[in-house]
Amino acid sequence: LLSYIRKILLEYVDLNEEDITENTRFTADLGLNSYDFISIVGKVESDLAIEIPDIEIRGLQTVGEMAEYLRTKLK
Amino acid sequence: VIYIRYLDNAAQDGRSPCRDLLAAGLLFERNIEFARESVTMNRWGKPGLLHHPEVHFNMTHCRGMAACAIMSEPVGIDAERVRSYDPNAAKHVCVPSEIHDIEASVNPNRSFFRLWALKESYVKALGKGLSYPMRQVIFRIGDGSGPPECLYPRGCDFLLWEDSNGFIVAACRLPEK
Repeated sequence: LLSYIRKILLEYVDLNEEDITENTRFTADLGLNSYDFISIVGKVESDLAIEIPDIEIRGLQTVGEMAEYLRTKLK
Repeated sequence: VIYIRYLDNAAQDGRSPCRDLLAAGLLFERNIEFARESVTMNRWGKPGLLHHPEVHFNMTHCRGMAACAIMSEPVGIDAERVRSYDPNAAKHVCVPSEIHDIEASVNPNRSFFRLWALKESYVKALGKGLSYPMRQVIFRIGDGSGPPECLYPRGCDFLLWEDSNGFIVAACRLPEK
């Protein structure tokens, strides 16, 4: 999942894959704006055939938090 | 007052174009030297000036543009460049009537990003970031030929500016308490 999230993020930022770690923050470190982030959430939902409620989106601040959330969601 | 600047992304030289705009605006409008000010942040990260709480400002940037608003009431601003929108993202942002209007409009991408920028400007004026559900801000888009009309919340002033290159800037001023 970490690798999957990294690949999506590389479509939005000009970085090397290894620069994106579990601790990387979507806005503070990658500079993603609100639309970028919601768009990533939409892509994840479409790819993995899941729904992420708005209230749970707000808790996803880092790459690691999103990977852990998806891991739980896909169990 | 709203300041807008087109950017050459290759020539930023490490400077923040938003902060440069803000510094110029504060000096011009209020005779405030931004470099000498202490910047505060609310719990969601919205900045303010410690010694000038009466001055409200907000900044935004997108690829190719920076913008800044300086007002005497809480204000939010958002800049976007029209591109293909993601319908999966739209359902997190729009109520069903807005999605219907976007899909039926003459230019769905433009209609979506107009709506996004307007909603984002309201949320930024509130200063709550992603913690505020954007579907609680509702607009009527119509066929997309005119600006969207805000149905909820009432009493805010919205401004929508667009150019012929697909840049959109929206600003929202909250009503005085």
